[in-house]
Amino acid sequence: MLLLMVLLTIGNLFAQEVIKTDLPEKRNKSFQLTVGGGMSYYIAAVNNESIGIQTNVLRTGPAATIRVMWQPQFRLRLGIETGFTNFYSYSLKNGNINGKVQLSAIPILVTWSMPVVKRVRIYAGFGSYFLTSHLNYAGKVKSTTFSLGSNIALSYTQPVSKKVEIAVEGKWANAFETKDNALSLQLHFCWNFWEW
Amino acid sequence: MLVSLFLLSCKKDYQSPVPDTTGWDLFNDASAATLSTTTKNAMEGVYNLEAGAETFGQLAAIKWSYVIKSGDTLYHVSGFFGKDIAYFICEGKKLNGEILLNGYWRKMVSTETGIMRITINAANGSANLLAPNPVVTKGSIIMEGVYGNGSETPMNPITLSYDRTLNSSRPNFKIMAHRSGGRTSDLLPVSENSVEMILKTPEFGSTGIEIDVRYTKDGIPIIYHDDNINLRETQKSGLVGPITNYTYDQLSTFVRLIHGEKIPTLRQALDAVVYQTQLSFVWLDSKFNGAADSVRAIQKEYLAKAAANGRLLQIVIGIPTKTEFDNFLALPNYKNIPSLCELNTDAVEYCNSVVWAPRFTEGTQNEKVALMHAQGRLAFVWTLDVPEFITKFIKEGNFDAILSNFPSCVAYNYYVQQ
Repeated sequence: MLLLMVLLTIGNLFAQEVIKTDLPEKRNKSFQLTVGGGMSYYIAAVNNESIGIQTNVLRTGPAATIRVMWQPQFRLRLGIETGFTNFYSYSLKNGNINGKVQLSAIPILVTWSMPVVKRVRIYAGFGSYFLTSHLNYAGKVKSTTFSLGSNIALSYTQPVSKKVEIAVEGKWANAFETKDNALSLQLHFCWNFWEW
Repeated sequence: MLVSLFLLSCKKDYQSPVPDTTGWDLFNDASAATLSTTTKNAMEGVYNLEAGAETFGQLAAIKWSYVIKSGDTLYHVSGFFGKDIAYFICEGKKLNGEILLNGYWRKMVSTETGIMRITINAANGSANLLAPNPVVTKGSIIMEGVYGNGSETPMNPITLSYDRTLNSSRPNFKIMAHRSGGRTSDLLPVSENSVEMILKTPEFGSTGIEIDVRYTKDGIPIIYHDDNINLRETQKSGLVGPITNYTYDQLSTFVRLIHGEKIPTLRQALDAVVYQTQLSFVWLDSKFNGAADSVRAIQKEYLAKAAANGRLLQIVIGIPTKTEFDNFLALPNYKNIPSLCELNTDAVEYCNSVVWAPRFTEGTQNEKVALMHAQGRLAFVWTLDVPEFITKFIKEGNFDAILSNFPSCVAYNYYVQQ
């Protein structure tokens, strides 16, 4: 996996541009900060049947992204990403006791990005998801774990000024060790905070 | 990169579901009756495979077992084979003077499984077996049957011919099943460390079990192997992190093992052992940090219950590391508490353990085993899963038990030994 990533990275660094993109020679080298949020929808299976109690599952929730990308003159860009994804929650009633479980995650990913056509970029990240479950049933429990994971995103970017862009991004967040994954649609504000 | 990320996120889920065995009309006949204990006992033995040897190997050890469920005694006959850790598990009935065995087979080295149907007709020994005093000699029982793949109708012939009695040269030898019967990851039909597995494991030939003991947040000893709630052992529940973060009530309400069972308490597990099985040994593997007082109290309680129930049952507290060794020494009157020590023989003597249990990588260690025997202790070896090693330890070693994820393989190797 890592070898493949390295080969692809090297290949991309020397790749010739054959499509119309944000041409590197017209662009300064920069660091870009992206901040934004939106809604996510949990697409993995939730099978609570064996609990034997009726549960009400909520698959939608807030999602957010914070990303810093190094944008060199090459097409391939590298950065780090974090944020928040509310995977899912469910509630139940066992006798007279109400219970609620909520699972969310904070990704910590190394991210690659590449413009594919003008104003459209793809992102791919690999790293860890820091998962937190909140249980409220006969007492409150907050518990955490890590899961290996990845994400893939596609964004459309609209420049607002020389340093600021607005983007709409669709993202697939996948904590594959715990088989949790969600799709999200987010609105992002991108700021080239350091150019040279 | 996108492709590689996608591939990394995809993992094949292997399955080996127990096939539906209810389709044999003859076996389902309303006049089919249960077999007597005499018949079942007479049927046990080592058999030569005259057909089907290419799939299962040359020999089979046939053994009956039973458990009690909902007040009913459920009998199963198991056949342990020498090839690919294969076995069959069947129910038995008699109909019109014939003996019918209906069930499934499985190979533990793969996902291969299928239906198994076996008949013993009058000419092949059923008349003798169904008689009040059956006399069984070489070749006097011929089991003829068919086996199939998956849920398909069985068509492949299998023939077993009685050769000799099961080896009983070491009547106290224990076939110890790891995690109460085997690992969930080996695609067994019930989850590891569950009550359901405790009731299943006699079908694999087990005569004893090892179970993993932990404490919940509210101090209740439960049976669970790993530190964390994870998808290896449990279904997705939305709960993550250390299992000790949760009370038993919370775990019991929200968490299910892979096959839908609840995580059992130690009491529930020992209840099943004492009142529903004939298992003769329980190894409580200490996975907890801290005092063992609660576990000791439950051990004492269930040893008394077993004795009151007429059961010859040993329950020992495992001492796997120096930490648990120190915790064990903190128990009052520890020298009189039945324990199993995985450390060296000096530690065994110090805490007066009933059992010394070294790991198999240290070899057969016959001199040390003899020393333990001379001191009136037992010696177990763990965890042996490679058939060649199991064969070697049974033939060349003098251990009193082998702990394995494949108790059927230990059963085969022990019972066919001459």
